[in-house]
Parts: sequence; C-alpha cells; structure tokens
Amino acid sequence: MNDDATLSYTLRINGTDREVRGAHYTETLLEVLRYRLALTGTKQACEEGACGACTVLIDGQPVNACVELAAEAAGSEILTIEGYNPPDGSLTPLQQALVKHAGVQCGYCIPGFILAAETFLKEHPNATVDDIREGMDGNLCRCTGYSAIINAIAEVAEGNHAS
Amino acid sequence: MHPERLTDPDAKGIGASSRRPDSNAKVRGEFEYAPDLREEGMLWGATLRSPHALARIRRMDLNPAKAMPGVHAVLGAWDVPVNLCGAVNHDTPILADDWVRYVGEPVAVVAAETPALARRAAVAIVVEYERETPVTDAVEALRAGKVFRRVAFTHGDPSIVGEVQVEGEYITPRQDHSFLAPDAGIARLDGNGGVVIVGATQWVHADREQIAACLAMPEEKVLVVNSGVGGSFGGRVSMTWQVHAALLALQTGHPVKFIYSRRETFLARYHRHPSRIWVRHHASRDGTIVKLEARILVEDGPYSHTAASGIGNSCSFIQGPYHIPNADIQGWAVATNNGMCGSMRGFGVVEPIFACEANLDKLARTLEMDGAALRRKNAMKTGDQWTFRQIQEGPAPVAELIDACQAMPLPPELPADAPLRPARVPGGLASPTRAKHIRRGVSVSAAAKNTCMSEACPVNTTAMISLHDGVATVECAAAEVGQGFITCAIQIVQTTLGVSAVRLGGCDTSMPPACTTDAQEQTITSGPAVHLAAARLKERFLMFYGREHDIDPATLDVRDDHVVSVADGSQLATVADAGMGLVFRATERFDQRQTWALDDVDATHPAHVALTFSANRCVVDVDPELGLARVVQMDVAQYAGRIVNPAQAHGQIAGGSLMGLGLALSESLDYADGQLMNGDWGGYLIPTLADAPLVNCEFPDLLEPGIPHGFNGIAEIPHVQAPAAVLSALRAATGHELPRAPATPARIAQVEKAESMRLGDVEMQAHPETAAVRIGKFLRFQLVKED
Amino acid sequence: MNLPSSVFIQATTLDEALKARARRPEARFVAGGTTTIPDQNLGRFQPEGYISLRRIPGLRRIEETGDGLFLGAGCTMADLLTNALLEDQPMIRLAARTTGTRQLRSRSTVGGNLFTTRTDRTLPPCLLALEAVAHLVSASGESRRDLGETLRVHRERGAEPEILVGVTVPRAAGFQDFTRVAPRNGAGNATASVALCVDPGRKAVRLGLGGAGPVAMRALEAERFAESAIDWEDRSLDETAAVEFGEIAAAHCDPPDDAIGSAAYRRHAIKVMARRILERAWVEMP
Repeated sequence: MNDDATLSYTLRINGTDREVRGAHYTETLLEVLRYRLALTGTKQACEEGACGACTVLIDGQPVNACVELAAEAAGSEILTIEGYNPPDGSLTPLQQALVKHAGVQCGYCIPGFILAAETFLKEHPNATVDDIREGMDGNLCRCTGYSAIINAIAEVAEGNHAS
Repeated sequence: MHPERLTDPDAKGIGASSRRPDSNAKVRGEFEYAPDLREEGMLWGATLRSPHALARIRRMDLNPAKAMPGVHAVLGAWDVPVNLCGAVNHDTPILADDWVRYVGEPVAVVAAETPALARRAAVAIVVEYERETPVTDAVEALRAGKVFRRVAFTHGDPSIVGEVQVEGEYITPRQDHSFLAPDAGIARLDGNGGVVIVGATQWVHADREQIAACLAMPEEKVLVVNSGVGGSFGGRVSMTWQVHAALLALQTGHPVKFIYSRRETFLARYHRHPSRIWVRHHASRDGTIVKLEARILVEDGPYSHTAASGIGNSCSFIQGPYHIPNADIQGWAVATNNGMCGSMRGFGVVEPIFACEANLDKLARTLEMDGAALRRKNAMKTGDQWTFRQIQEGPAPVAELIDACQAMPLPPELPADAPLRPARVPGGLASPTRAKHIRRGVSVSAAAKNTCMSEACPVNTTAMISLHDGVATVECAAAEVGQGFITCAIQIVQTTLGVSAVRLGGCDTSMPPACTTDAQEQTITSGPAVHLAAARLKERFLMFYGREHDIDPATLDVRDDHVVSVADGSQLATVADAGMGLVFRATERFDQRQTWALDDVDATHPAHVALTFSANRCVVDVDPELGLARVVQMDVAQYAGRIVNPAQAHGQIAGGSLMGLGLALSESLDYADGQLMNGDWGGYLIPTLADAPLVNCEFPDLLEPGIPHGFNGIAEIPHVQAPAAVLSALRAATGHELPRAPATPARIAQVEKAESMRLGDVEMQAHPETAAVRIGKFLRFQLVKED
Repeated sequence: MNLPSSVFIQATTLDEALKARARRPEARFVAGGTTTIPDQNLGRFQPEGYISLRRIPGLRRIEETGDGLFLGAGCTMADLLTNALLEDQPMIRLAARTTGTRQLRSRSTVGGNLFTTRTDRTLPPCLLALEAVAHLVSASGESRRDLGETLRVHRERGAEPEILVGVTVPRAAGFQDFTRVAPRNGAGNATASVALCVDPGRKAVRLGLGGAGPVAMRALEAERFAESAIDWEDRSLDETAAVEFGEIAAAHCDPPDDAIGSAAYRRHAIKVMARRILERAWVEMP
C-alpha cells in the first residue's frame, strides 16, 4: 500500500478530539467510528446510504456515515448515539417513546432512527403522522412495520419535546 | 393515525404488554450485535467466492495470499476435516472442492490483520475455472429430473369434475430476508482444545452439530453462543462464516472475526425460493368448491438445504384455509444454479396461499360472486379433513375471522376535490396521480399455516429455571432474534411461578437444546417448557416451605412474590424470605406431538403439530394507468392461541404484513444466467416508512388444545397472508388478473408482457417425462439428536 | 490536520482542483460523495485518488444575478430547501425534496446530480425545463453553455476535465411543475420524471425528461408540437393534443432498462405523465 494513500487527521466526536492515524483515504466515517474508534453504536448495514442505520449528525446535519469519507469530516462536529445519550444512563423523551410504543424489536435500526428523528423533529416541531410518513423514509426497519416508530415520533412531536 | 399498542412498564404476566428487558440498551445503542463483537488480538476473515454459476475448479494456488505480510492463514477445501454440512442433508460444501455451483459459493478463506488486507489477500488467490452451462430455469430443471423432492397425493375422488372450472398459473419471486444486521460472527479458542463460536443464529444446537461434525470434533468441544441478533426471519439457518472462522482460529491461534458486507450478505446466503404454481378450482355454480388440482414448482438452489420441508408445506397449504373434498396435488422442489434457497418467514406457505387466493379471486369473478362470500362459504372448520388426510383438531375459526376483519371500520374515502397529501397519494411526493386517477380496491383473503416444523421433525425445548432470594433466572436456549421471546419467557414465569423479578441467562449450547426460532414455534414450544419448569420449581419451593413450616403444600401458592395460603389468600412470607438463601431449581422438557411424513399421514397420524389461520381485508388505492399503488390499510383477524404480549403480537402482525407487502409490490431478487443482478438495497427494494399502511388486528379468544396456556404461533402467518391480500385488493381496484408478484408498476399498468403457462395440462402432456421424474434422495430430519 | 497526500486532495480553489486532476487524470472529483462512495463501497470501481471539491468557497453560493438565480454546483439539496432565495422556485424545491432521503440531501450536490451516470435524478429535468445555463471552468478558462448540451458532452468524456461551477436559472413566469414515478412511495429512485414550464408571455413550452435516456434531456419535438397546438389567445389546449404531446415525447426518447424499471414502462410513464402535466398546466396556471 502506498504510504501516501494513508492519512492522519483529527475528528471531533461527541465533543472530544479523537486522533486517527494511518487511515486509508478511502475509509468511510462509519469504518473509522466502528473499527478504529470502537464506537459501535452507529451501525453497519448497507454501505450505500440506502438505509440510514449509520446516521450521525455532522454540524447538525443528518448524514449517512457509510458514504462519508472520514477525512472529509475533519473540522466538523460529529454527534453519534454515544454522544446523544444522557450520560446518567437515562432515556431522552424520544427513546422513552420508542420503548413505550414497542418500537424496538431487534433494535438494529434504532440508533440511526433516533438521530434522524431528532433532526426531523427540530425541522418539523409540530409534525403530524403524515409529515412523518413523508419525511422519515431515510431509515429502513425490517422488524416493526414502522407503525410503532411512527407513533413514537408523533408522540414526541405532540409533546414538542425535541431535545 | 396508526393504532396504538402501548407497553406498560408495570404490567406482569401472560396477557400484559410488558416491556422488553433489552429495550433500554437498544435505544441507547449499547446493545451488542454480532457485527459489534470484538476480541483482543483478533484477526479479520475474508472469503473468496465463485464468480461462476457452475464451473469445475481446475487449479487453485493459495500462495500469493499466503505470501502477503500480515496474512496469518489461507485455507481451502482440503483444510476442512469434513467438508459437507447442511440444515437437513449434509450435501453443502463448507468450501468448494472440485465444483462451484452458484455465484458466491465460498472457495477459500483468509485471516489477516486488517479487514482491507484480508480482502486483498482473498482476491490474490489464483483459481482456474472451467465453466459449464448452469441450470437456470426451474421448468427445465424439472424436465431434466433435477428434483430434490416430489410430493404427490390425491384426496377423495380426484376424477370429479365441477360445473365451473377456473385455472391459472401464478408466480412468486425470490425474496431476501434483508435483516438489518449483516451476517457476522467471531470464533476463538477456549484454551482447552475447543472452540467458541459467537454470532447471530436461530438455533445454537443445530449449528453446533454441524460445526462439530465439520471440524471432526466432539460436540462437547464446541460452544456456540448466540450474540445479539439484528433480525433473522428464517435467514440465519445455514453455515456461512462459522466453520470458516473456527478453522482459521484453530490454524492461527487467534480469534477470527467475519463481517459480511451487505452485498456479500445477499450473495452468500439463501433466499426464499421462487415459485410457479398452476391451480385449478372446480366448483358448483353456488360457489361450493368440489375439487382442487395443483402443480407446484419451487426452485431451490444447487444444495438441498431445507427443500424437502418447503415443498411439503407448499403441498399441504395450496388448499388454503378451505374445506376441499377432492384434490389432486403434485409438487416438486428442483435444483438450479441460481443461488441457494431456503427458509424464510412463512416458509413454503407464502407461495401456495398466493396462488390459491389468486385463483379464488378468478373463481369469484367467474361466478360473479363476492370474494369474501366465496371464501366464507368454503371456510374450513374444526373436524374437517385436510387434503393430506390430517384431521383439523384445533380451532379453525376461518368464517369468524373473515367476518371479524370485515367488521372493522373502513378507512375514509379520499376527498374528491381537495388536493391530496403525498402521504395519501399513490406515488407519494411529486406523484403524477390526482384524485380522478385513483381507484380504490377492497378485498378479503384468508390463509392457513402450520406452527412448528412438520413431517416427523422432532420439536422440543428443555428449559432450566432457578430461584434465589426472590429472583428467578431462566436459562433456555431459545434464540431471541428480535421477536420478543425473551419478554414472553419472563411473563410466563411471572404467571406460573408468581414471582415478578425474572432474569434471563444467555443462549448457548452449554444449556440443553431448545427448538429453533423458525416455523413460528418458539412461543408454542419453549413457552410451555418454561412454563413446566416454572411449575415444577414452584412445586419444589412450596414443598420446601411446607416442610420447613409444617404446612401441607397443597394449601399453598406463590402469588405476587409471596407464599400465600390458598384458602384465604393471606400472605405468609415473601418469596425472598421463604427461600432462606437457598437456590431452587427445575429443568423440564416439553415435546410437541409426533408428526409423520406426508406419505404416512392419515386421520390419526398428523403431518403438522398445529395450525393457525388468518383473514385480511386490504384496502389499496391504485392509479391503474401508471401502476402506482398505495396500501392504505390492512384489517387482520388472526387465530394465534393465547396472546402472551399484545403489544408484541401487534408488532409481529405489523412487521410480517409489511414484509409481505414488500413481496407483493417491490421485492424481487433477480438472477440472469446465474448472475445476481440486484444484490444491494439500491436495487433490491424493501418497503420504507412511506409505504407502511395502517394495520389493525384482532385475535379471537381461542386456545390451542394440548398446549399449556393454549399458545399457538403468530409471527409467520401475517407474511403468508399479506401478499395474497395486497394482490387481491389490486385486482379489485384494477380488474386485472395480476398473476405475478411483485406487482410492480409495469405489471399493474399492464405494460409487461403476460407470462405463458408452463405447468398447465397441455404443457405437462407435452413433456410426459416430467410426471415420471426420478425422485431425488428422500430427505430425513436429523436436526436434534434424541437421547 | 491532514498530512499532504497526492491521492487525496482537499482543494480550496478551482485552479488547485483542475491542476490536481491534470497531474492525476485517473483521480475522481468528489463533492457530496453520495454516488461515488456507494460505488466505491460496492466495488463498482477501484479508487485511484480523490479530489474533494467540498472546501472550495463559492461553489456553495446562492445569489441573485442580473441573469437570474445562480446556484453553485456545491450547493446541497438541503441548501436548496432552506435558502430563502428559493422560496419562489417551487419546482426546484420539489426536485430537491425528492432527491434521496434526508440524510442524502445533506450531502447530495447540484453538480453531483447533474454530472451523474444515474438516470433516476429529478433535478436535471427541472433545470432543463427552466432553461438553466451551466457555468464551467477548465484549464482553458470559464465558459457558459446550454445545460442540456453540457450534460451530453460531459457524459461523452470530453478532451479536458471541466468543473461545473454552478447554474444560472433565468426568472420564469407561468406554470412550472414536475412529476415522477418510482417503485416505492418514498423519495429516491425515480424510474422516470417529467418537468414542464409553460410561459404564455413567451408562448414557450419546455419539457424536461428524466429516465428517458442516458442523460436528462429536453423533449424538443414535443415542445414544438405543443407550442403550435396551444391556442395562446384562449389559453387552451385540445384534449387530443395533450395525448399527442405525450406520445411525441415518448416516441423521441431512449429509456434505459434496469432493475428499477424497463424501457417499455419508462416510455409508457413518460407518455402518461407528459399528457397529464400539460392538461394540468391550464388549470393551475398562475
């Protein structure tokens, strides 16, 4: 491997600077998060931006980490599910709503759904179910049939509890 | 608004919508799935796979890979002590030896220090292939005699002819499980000459049996541990990375991890088998069905996998949930080189129900009869005999289910004048459809499905339970894959033992075997096992307490975490105190009743352990000119025995229905000349949130006899039902026959050329060799060793 | 802080990007990455260097000019949906809205949607119908060209590398809308799309098609037919003329055949969508 093809850079993740050394320039942010930095809350599922399981926030924008070159994310603020979680182990209103509505079966899609839904709720604070059905199609779920997840997001929208 | 099914954090016991014990970890992203596993010093595995559908391997040179620095091991077929495995018959190579028989078949494996290095080493391996012409057409395979199993039986008088005859040929696609978590796992040495395999699976004991056999090790030296599973739907049954990882770990001394890309997860695994089914219903003019004829052709891959059970199920349920007095049914599972096929949710039953319901839609139209009325008229009842001669002993409330789904409120009509929201319009955002283009179709269909593996397959679970300081711990190897069995197990213990604090052990082969998470059999099998263990434990506990306090245990019970006197309900002690720091245990096994191969079935020898039924009224809005469809609502009535957890039950109906909707409208894994054309989520389209209909469901208050608490299966039949339901509604909306799933826009708009019949009378008579085809090896079930 | 690399360049000027490409012709320009990186991950090509355009200021400009509204090639779909200057560009907004999911819209760029081999994009036919002009820069200098011709030429891999700087969208009057068909009800994967502008003041009909050929295109024959068939005084159109409009549009295209849809269905969909959108133009004309 050409040494020139490997890079070193700093990624600011969940408020902390993390050094990345000797990463191939083609490595995606998802690969760096999961395999170099052991942040496995962001999930690998499709590698092509089709399913949203790898959704992270970069400078507040929801992005599929699997199709983001990690080196490009240097200089931005990256938020993963690990940074989203309340540090005391409790659950946010959206997390509570998902549990309440039985929106979690295998749960693999859930971290991506949470980060995408939080953005959605910020951008649509009074979202109706129809708004959700039009705006949250960037996250695939194979277990639930979506209705419980829709209800959970709708409940948070109603309470306007976007965190 | 979608109907709400809320969980209750305080509710306990059977019938409560209790919360999953793992939901907090999952919403925080802290739950560990197979792709998340890591071990100190682990190496990464990669697999070299066949690019050809059928080829001889002339030469293989592993040295270019072995020479790369950082590569610790490269293995081929000769490194596998026993190179054959399989879910039933052991006919599937762990690594291809002299032939490759499907694109993606594993040929060699590598363990290296980084994933990228492992992948580069794999492609550095030199393989010389000599290509052969693959078998890619199921009908051609049938005529050439490449048959894994042929099933044929008649019922009643097969020579009877009805006043009205309606026939058709129906086609269903290859479908992928597309669970969110890609295939992954890790193998490590246990320091004692054995191996530990950790990954996502549905049946740890069946895995262990195959892995141990392939490694030429006794089973005691192989520990299989189920990791967190990101969905399975019947798709995690075969050996993929398990033996590869174990061999590489044994060779290198390091743990070895595999994680398949999504494309590899498509290529390397089996899928639901495509089907082509010819059906002819004979009926009287009043709609009474007098005879059913069927020819069921199911395409399996080059290795048998679960082909035998699939075709057995298909021939069983081509009659649907209807009383059929006379029948002539034939089915074949054939081998092609189009990639492996095997179990998927609703295994072997999605296809015949699709064909049966399609042909009944045709019959209804011919008789000018309402489809629901036609179905209700022929509805099966308890006591009826199935075409395969089994007597329906349990509840068969088919007419009641049809009535129930029709009694649910219909959705409001779309406004004719006001503009429609994208969420309501077929086509969604920027749709070319306006109100005047929309036709609404409403139709009722029904289905039946077996619960538990059938045809002489032993089905049983052994559960262990212990009680210490007022806390119960259940150890049961029933695989949790997201469906919520763990929640049900806790609730069953709460009800039966009377203790609210219930913990779960993990799922691995250090425990006695449980049944597989397939065939919707977990609740009905492991549920009773857990129940029996809890009941035995309570017995022992009360016997102890009775002895200690000189009270007749028959006058005692455990309720709400207390020992109580049955006579007046008074609490005598907390369970924690009563236990006096001791540990109480029980281990109990529950066996399903015996079943027989279809050839041996009669009124006292059933083929299937239990049966479930459903009805679905589906509402779809269609723009027929462009073929755009939106499923608005599904009203499901389903017999599922005693419901343990209503919120979870609804989740299975909603999830299974949507997966079936995917098959109905957009999912088709396409092969051309043996090459996979769309093995990724940009080309293979599963339903998104924008496609989800409203799903309502009701369960009649009926119990399955002979099963503690009256449990039955729940999770598969919604997927069996939904494709039939959606297509039936599309037919009602458009008036088209729509014999083929997925009903893509091109098919709904009638732009695609109609398929010609290939299994009709004329075609079969033109190929007499088909009827006399040599039957492949009869397949036996030897999944779990009996003591 | 990145160490200097010859295979991964984060250009900060257009000149730097072009020079990097001249030194290494096999390297690819990457902006949003929403098609390049999936293709990389799925093994559809072997990367031989990336030149990122993301850090070039000015590629993400949106501004009013004398000629119309300038949209920088680096603008993301999310930018188009939130920038106030696009409040009176409903068709561009709808095209942006239907370009992928919310996550992809954070990154998917105007330039990436135009210079793509994918045939499922909705922005190109809309910009064509709006008669957008492309601004390009190469080693030889800057140029402005018809967008349709630019898309055709770009696909044919012209002699020297060019970077799309942006497009200028002239001020439009009259009716503008587009519709799409897709295999599912959510965003993304448009099988085919049509974008229509009807300007009674100029007696102009402009029809952009997506999924009708290897690149998005204008349906010139259908446009000419409609312009002569329309009664501009009465502002009306014969029903049969709308049917013929659709048929002409469908007859003059060469749609692809792929996993998402067949050529026959695309042709059929274009015919129906073109007819319906022209019929609607009169009812909904502002």
